[in-house]
Amino acid sequence: MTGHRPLIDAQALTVTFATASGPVSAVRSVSFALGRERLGIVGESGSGKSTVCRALLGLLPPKTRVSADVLTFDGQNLLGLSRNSWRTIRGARIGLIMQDPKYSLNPIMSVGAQVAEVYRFHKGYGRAAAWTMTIDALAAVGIHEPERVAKLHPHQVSGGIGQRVMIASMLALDPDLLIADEATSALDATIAAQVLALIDDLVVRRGMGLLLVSHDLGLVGRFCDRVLVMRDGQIVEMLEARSLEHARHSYTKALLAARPRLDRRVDILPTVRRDAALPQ
Amino acid sequence: MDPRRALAIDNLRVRYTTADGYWDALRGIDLAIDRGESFGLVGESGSGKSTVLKAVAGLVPEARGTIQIDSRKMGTRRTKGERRKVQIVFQDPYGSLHPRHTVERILREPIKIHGFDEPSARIRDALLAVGLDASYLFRFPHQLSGGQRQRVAIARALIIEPQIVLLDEPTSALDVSIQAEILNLLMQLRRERGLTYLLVSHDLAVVAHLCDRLAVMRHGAIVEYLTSDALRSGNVEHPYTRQLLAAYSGSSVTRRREIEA
Repeated sequence: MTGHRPLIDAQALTVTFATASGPVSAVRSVSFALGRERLGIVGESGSGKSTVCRALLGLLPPKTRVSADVLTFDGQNLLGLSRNSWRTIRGARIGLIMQDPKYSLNPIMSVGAQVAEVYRFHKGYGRAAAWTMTIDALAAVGIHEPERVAKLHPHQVSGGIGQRVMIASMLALDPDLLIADEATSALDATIAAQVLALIDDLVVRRGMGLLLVSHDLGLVGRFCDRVLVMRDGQIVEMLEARSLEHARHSYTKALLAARPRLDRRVDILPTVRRDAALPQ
Repeated sequence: MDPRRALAIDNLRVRYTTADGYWDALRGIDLAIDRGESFGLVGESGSGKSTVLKAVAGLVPEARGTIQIDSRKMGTRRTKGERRKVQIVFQDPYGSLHPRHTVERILREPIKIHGFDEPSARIRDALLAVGLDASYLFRFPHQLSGGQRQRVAIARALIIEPQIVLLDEPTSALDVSIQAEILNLLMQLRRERGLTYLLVSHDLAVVAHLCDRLAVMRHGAIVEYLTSDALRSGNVEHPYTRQLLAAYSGSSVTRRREIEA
């Protein structure tokens, strides 16, 4: 964490979707700054955590209203950017890894060709050079036989390998910020731990910023430096990740208490009281 | 066989033919689960956990070895009555409920197939048992939240009064708060109805919470049987179980080691 300006500065960020039954604010006046650190966002489905990420990537539906007092990436204003300007940021400077590689990868292209495409079209490498870079990139994300795996199609690789391929294609552009939206939720615990360790290693080695979105509080607590807890579009609490287990806010406490625990037996799990007015 | 046994699996083997030969999904599994017991299977993707569930449900015709349910040996083709005894709840309730059928129709189908009487009353009772009222009857799956969908999936499994319920990652797609509600519901239903559960999950805390005993699977075989209490206290024998526990509690040392391995 160097003392430079933050990668992301968001002040009073509000995102309002136009729905059939009128405008709905999925994110309401959210403020946070993100440096070259690991920031986690936790919250239930519908709390607005993924919407925050999409606002930072300019990936919201056309009629969505994004407003903020300040919304900058590395000093550059993100409000009202043109489609072309977004392209110089999205992917190139802010990378995204989503939950399920099966849906994010093109099913009819070999995984290697998809990574090579990034080198060819974004970085201007020739076909052969791009392939060499691809093999190196696959090896760098811990794929043991990169030449063999590169020729496989997405349905022929496991979820863990698929997620590594996603990371490899994203890293080809050497972004400053990595957004991982439930990146390991579809993987089982051992594979998830490996993929997280890989992300961690890259973040530390390349000095990237990381925004890790997850509904898994334990994972975020272990993995991040700081954590934002979101509920109904607002930040209810911001705290050091290592003190997550000792959170003060009643909502954070309720979420923590709802988890079954390995260290002790609980007969009936406490549940989180939800507001009556939940959108269906 | 012991009359208390709900399920006994002996030397279960499953081999799939692939483009370049064959693949042994299960290499001799032995399990004995008592009536009213809740048993967990853990292990990473591809270890064969879900294949065990499929075989118990009679969905793997090429399975070898024996599966006994209620002291009766299952043949390659199950009778309707045998099928009724074993029901499954899947991980993704959105994928396992017909998108164009209402809740009412989803619940009516198994009743019709198995020829139960008083369908309307049964449907109402099944919904109430999972904490949903009659106002949900004519909704489609997309009009339900993830937790409500999983409740419907549980209601569908229970409506024909099975003895064994196979739970394949039943809460992995849900938020912690919803997961807590579904786990409480599953505990309560088992207690009330004396159901036998066979649960597959990668979440060790979920398995320890819901199950009394569990088996750790790797490469199509069981490497260790243990009680949930042993899992909680870290009193495990096999190095692979230890590795799973370490990955679960996320010790950074393990994470680093694994990635270099």
